[in-house]
Amino acid sequence: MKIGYYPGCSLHKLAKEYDRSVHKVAEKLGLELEELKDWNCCGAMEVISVNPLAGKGIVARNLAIAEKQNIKLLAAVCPACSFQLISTNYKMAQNKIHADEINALLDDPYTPNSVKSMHFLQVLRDEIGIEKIQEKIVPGNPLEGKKGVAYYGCFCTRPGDIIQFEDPDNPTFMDELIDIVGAKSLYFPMKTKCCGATQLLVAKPTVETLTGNIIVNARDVGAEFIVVACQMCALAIDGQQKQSIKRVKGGKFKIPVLYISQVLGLGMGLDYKSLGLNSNYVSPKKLLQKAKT
Amino acid sequence: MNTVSMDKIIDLNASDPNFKNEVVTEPGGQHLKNCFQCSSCTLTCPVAEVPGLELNPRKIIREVLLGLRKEVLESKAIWQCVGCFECTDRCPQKVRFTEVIEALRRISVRSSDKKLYIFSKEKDKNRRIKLSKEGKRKHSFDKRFTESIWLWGRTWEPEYIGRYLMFGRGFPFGALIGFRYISMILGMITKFKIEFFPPWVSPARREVRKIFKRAKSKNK
Repeated sequence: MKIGYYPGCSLHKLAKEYDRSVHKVAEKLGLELEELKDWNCCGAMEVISVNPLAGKGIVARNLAIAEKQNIKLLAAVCPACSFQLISTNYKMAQNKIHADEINALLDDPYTPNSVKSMHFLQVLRDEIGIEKIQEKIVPGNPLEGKKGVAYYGCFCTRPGDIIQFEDPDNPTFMDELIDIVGAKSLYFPMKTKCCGATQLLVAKPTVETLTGNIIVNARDVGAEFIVVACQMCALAIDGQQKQSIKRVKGGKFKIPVLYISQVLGLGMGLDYKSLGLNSNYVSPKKLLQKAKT
Repeated sequence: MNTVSMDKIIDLNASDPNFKNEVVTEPGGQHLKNCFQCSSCTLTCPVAEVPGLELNPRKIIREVLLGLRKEVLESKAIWQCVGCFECTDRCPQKVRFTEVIEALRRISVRSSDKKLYIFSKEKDKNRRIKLSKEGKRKHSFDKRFTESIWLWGRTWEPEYIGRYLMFGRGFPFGALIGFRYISMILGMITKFKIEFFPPWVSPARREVRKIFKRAKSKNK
């Protein structure tokens, strides 16, 4: 099966382990990821807040490229990118005058609803299905018997009326994925609370407090690792972990943060290096070694 | 949680009754008048729970509806939102507060006395306000992010983050803020996560610049 793939700016270097592991997992599942030719940045939340029209214009350009490349299904791995792609398409489909206004900015206009964009998690759920993933899981993988929590963050499920993926209050698909790998997913109250990573460079104390609460809560429910689906969440929870725990006075501990694709890759028996696990800030080596002995 | 001070009496004679219409005409603020003050937004807001911060979505909407233009636009609170869409999701009246606050930020920058607003409408000459410190920081970050896209077609993290850390808070001493991020930056360097060369995608860059140019001329 062939689907379009929109990596987004940060996936090329800042979160290269996410990009690499997504490709590896997709290869195992028989998904062919066709990268958009000559894509540009989606603008995240920043361009929208400077100039909303240009912000939507640059997203619509990506969608127009996908339409030109005959891509019916466009998967984005960065939740901010997938949110921008989905919401621009949604707004253009709803309001025709607005769509014409945006198309006037582009060289090749985009027909609303011709490309269906979604997050990689939704591709796993709707296009592949959990049974097919389960077939590929090998028994005796390093995560078997471990306890983990799924952390969704904001844009994977919210705002519910635009994303239309899962219940925004209690999404469960990532927990199911953790369970089929052989690890045990735990009840996690902070599952959808924001980590604030969009303000990481602007208001660091706020972000540290928000992130620290999430990490300490994960420890309190007994998790050995946190699973995320967003590279910005990983940057806040993983890269800033020490300072965040210090800020909320949570004690002294480390908790590895894995991407969902890395968890699936480990379950499929892929090796440590090919999933880019050595690039995570908090090394998961200890977590994975314990299982071997 | 911050407490609302009750001793301040609002002088409605000094308020601007047209302020709510100004917000409603801004993209994103269309549903503002639906609000019935149930406070769902404030109760779910993760930032409102952080001690020391002033964000209170319900209060901001009420102030906008009352027309307290200066108080809202000069406040720190509108810049403290992290944009997590919890309030948008929970609102029974579909006010979409995250978009409202973006509209407020744009109005705030547009009518500020600083020359900060690029790629968009010209400033209001009258009814100027003074942008808060938080506002200047957040806007300078947004601006540099946008400039990075204009320059390269994609963002190039070392370039815009470096520029923000250097010049975002005033040049010589503001740049010392970079030391707070030193562990993260060192982590990135040791894990080879920093892109040393700009993303060189010329057709995308040219077209993105064209989009920005057209959007700018349209807004005038």
